[in-house]
Amino acid sequence: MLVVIATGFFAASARACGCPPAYSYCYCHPTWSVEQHAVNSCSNVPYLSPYNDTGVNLRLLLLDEGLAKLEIQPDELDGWVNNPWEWEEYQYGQVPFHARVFLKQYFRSLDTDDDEGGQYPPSYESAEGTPWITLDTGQVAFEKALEAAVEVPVEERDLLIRTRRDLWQTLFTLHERGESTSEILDKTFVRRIASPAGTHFLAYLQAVFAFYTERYSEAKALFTALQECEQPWVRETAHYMISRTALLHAEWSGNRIQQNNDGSSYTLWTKASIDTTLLGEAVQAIRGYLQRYPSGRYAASARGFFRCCYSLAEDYPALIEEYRWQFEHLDSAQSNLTVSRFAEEVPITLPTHAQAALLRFWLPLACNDLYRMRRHSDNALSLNELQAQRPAFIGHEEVFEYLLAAHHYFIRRAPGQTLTVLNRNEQRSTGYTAFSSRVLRGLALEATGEHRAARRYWEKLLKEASSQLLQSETLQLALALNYKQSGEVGKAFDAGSPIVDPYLRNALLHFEVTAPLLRKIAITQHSSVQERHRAVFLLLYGHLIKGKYKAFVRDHALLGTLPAPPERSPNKWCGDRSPDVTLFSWSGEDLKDGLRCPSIVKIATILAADPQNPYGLLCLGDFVLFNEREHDVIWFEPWGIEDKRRPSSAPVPRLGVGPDPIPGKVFSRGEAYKAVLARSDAPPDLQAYALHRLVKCYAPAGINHCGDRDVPRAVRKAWFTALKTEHGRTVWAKSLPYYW
Amino acid sequence: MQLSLTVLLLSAMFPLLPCYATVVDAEAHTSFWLWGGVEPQPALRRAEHLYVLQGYVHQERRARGIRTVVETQGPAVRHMGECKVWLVYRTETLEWSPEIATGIVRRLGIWRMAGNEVVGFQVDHDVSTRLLPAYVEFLRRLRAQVPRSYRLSITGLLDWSNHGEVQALAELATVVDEVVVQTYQGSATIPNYRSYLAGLKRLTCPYKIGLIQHGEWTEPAELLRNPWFRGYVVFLMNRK
Repeated sequence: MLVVIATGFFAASARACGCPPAYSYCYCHPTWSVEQHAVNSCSNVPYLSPYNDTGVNLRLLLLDEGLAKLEIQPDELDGWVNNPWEWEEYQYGQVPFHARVFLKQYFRSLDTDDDEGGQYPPSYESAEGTPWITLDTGQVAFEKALEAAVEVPVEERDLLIRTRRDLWQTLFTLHERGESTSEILDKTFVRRIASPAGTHFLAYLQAVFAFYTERYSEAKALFTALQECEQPWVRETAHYMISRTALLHAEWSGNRIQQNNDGSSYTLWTKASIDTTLLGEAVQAIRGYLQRYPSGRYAASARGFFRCCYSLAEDYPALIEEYRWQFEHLDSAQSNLTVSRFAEEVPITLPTHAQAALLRFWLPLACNDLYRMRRHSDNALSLNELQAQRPAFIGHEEVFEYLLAAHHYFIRRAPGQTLTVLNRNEQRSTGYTAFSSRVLRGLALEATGEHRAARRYWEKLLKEASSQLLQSETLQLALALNYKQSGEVGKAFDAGSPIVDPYLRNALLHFEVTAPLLRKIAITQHSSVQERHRAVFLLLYGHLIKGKYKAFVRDHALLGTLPAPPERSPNKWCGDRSPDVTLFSWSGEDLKDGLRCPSIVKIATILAADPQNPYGLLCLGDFVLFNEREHDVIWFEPWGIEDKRRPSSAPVPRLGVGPDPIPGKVFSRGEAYKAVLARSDAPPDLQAYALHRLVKCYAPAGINHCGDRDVPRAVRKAWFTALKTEHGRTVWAKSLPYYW
Repeated sequence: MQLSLTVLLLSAMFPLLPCYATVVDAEAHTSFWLWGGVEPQPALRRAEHLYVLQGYVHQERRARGIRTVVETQGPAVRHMGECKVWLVYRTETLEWSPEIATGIVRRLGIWRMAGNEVVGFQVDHDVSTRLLPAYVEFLRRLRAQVPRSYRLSITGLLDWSNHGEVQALAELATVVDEVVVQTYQGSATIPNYRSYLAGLKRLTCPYKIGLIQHGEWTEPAELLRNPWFRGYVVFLMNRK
């Protein structure tokens, strides 16, 4: 998908490189704030924040449990989250970050994920509700079992293996022919399988065929008949399959065929429709298997079915207990969760409303408490309720104390109280919970108005070496916001400034830096070459689109003082994304269908003398149009413009809100053309060109892309008529057969 | 979801929007994307086309190196009634092994066996304009691996039509059976989607417009006159 930032200038420009899918909810701009104020997948921070994605908070807690670590992974995978050079495209820095960047780029669990199988191991415990996900793994297991069963004659073995391998094709072919599948094995194979063990495998296959064709009652009966048979693999596997079949049967019972008034029908699946008797049978069947085979080959999978059963039954105490068991037994042969899978699954299945159930397990409880500290939560956490949770956090007091402090800060808006709680428990560790407390202390200092003290505090923390990823970047953002608060953003660009994160420095340049400071950075030797180029670019760009033509002409000379740009290295998807000041060396290259224009600096000189000069305005319009056409990706839109337009603009300190660092009205082609028409002294050929362009603003579908206010069709028609009648002999009239 | 609120806020905020801009009402449509976890809703009763999410293809680091994996996603296989079904695969990568196509063919068969009229499958990939030619090649290979009886649909981006390479778009039309152009991002309509619609004229294959439920849409009069336009697909959302 694309991220679009519309301004009057380059109205329809797009950022369109390797965009994240719609499903990822990427269409949001990061809020450059430490505190955050609203839920936004793009704006997560590396401390326990109510506004973080629950999955991020959960993973931060897992880090402190020693189950995972954060490390920057090489950007070798496809997809934008894996490639930091694409983040800038979406205006991301390192902090805040997108939830998916956190879990794919940084988070690494310390246990090993299953590396077997060509496809992602299907989580058939996660209520996916279809038998088919084990089509391949089941086949492999069946073949291995037969190869180990030397008592089965080779011909029988081959026939059985082939039959299982063809299962899908057989069923599909029969279905397409409209033939019944129920007796296929009886008809074809029974007489060719004669050995006792071979017969057991055949009976198992018959049950499997019933299973895959969703004849669950029949499958259950067939598997049950095998759970005492002599062949050990068939005996155990059939026993396990009873529980799996029972679970799918229960889930399947949630389907209800509904009729529309017109006689058509549709199927509705709801948890409420599930047959609870069948669900009870499933739980019993799982227990039956686990009792008989506590260390069985399917024990982990079978135990995993409990989560599915409890989720379908909405038995949340049992579900939470099961997660606790899994978490406490990650190494057990009966656990089917890895750290990563645990972190993925819990936020999805977390019963946020089942508070009593959550008291059984501190980890999801902590995540849910944070979730309930969000502004406008419809189920806000009360202080009494939180205090009553203390016993649930035995052994995890550091987390509990942080939650108390966070409650004072985020819900009660009482920074003084927050500091009191934090002072009670000074944290010395370098974990993320301790870091959360440190960040909260700084935020509380800022909120009490102690900005000087807060600045010293952030600076002190930044001097202490932090071994943990993303912590320094968070503190740098906090310090930058402190500078902004006191109108001293320039300090961030002083020599030796502790603000060194290049993403953050770019954001400051785009959001906060005024023209004089941009000019200073442009000529400062200690600034990096990229930064100097960016400063000049933003300065010239700002002057030009805001009508500061004299300043543009003056500062255009800065181009000559810049060191050569670093080598541009187009990446595989997006090309080079760094600012290219050569834009301002535009020589006036003709638009194929435009005016003959001088260089951009000459255009600006004309406009500096007369800001409404028709020729100057039209040529500036051509410059814009030319670059719109030639640069299909216009990367250099000023950041945060959309954010500024949103009324939800943060009630918390953040970059990109407040007065525009380069104030002024943004140039629009549409308005420029209208201004030319309004000047009675404009030469007729320029008036004709202005009319021609105005009409074309609405080509080809009647939609205006010139950045000015839309006008009704009648007005467009009047422009067209004026062009054709008053300037009929000009090339501009002759080359335009329509209006839109 | 936050969505309805977002849309209201957006509407309140952009006074320049024409007053006839309307909120997307699923009840007025008959084709839908159905992702996992979406609560049943009345609009589904009259569904004629359902695009059902079935998988997410992406790359992962494993002990033995990078591998492309297919993560099962979306609703379980079931009889969907009398509507036509498309299976949707989201992908972050074009590095597909041949087994992925085989798996899709099987999955299409499984949905048929569940009693559905399965039309084909849709690849949901956000590709930049510059990479369109490579994407067309990928689709051509994929097309060859799947029986012709199944149609191939893809999602498209609004800015392809404005900035897209004409040649690549023309070739695309020879490979895919339809493009569904998304007018939303995340859970909200792209604010200035109207600026992009002009470029739809450059698409020379059947296309639909993808809308987001509760999002915004104003139908340009020109759209109905476009011979390639085949209607809308609405991405269903849960309301909070």
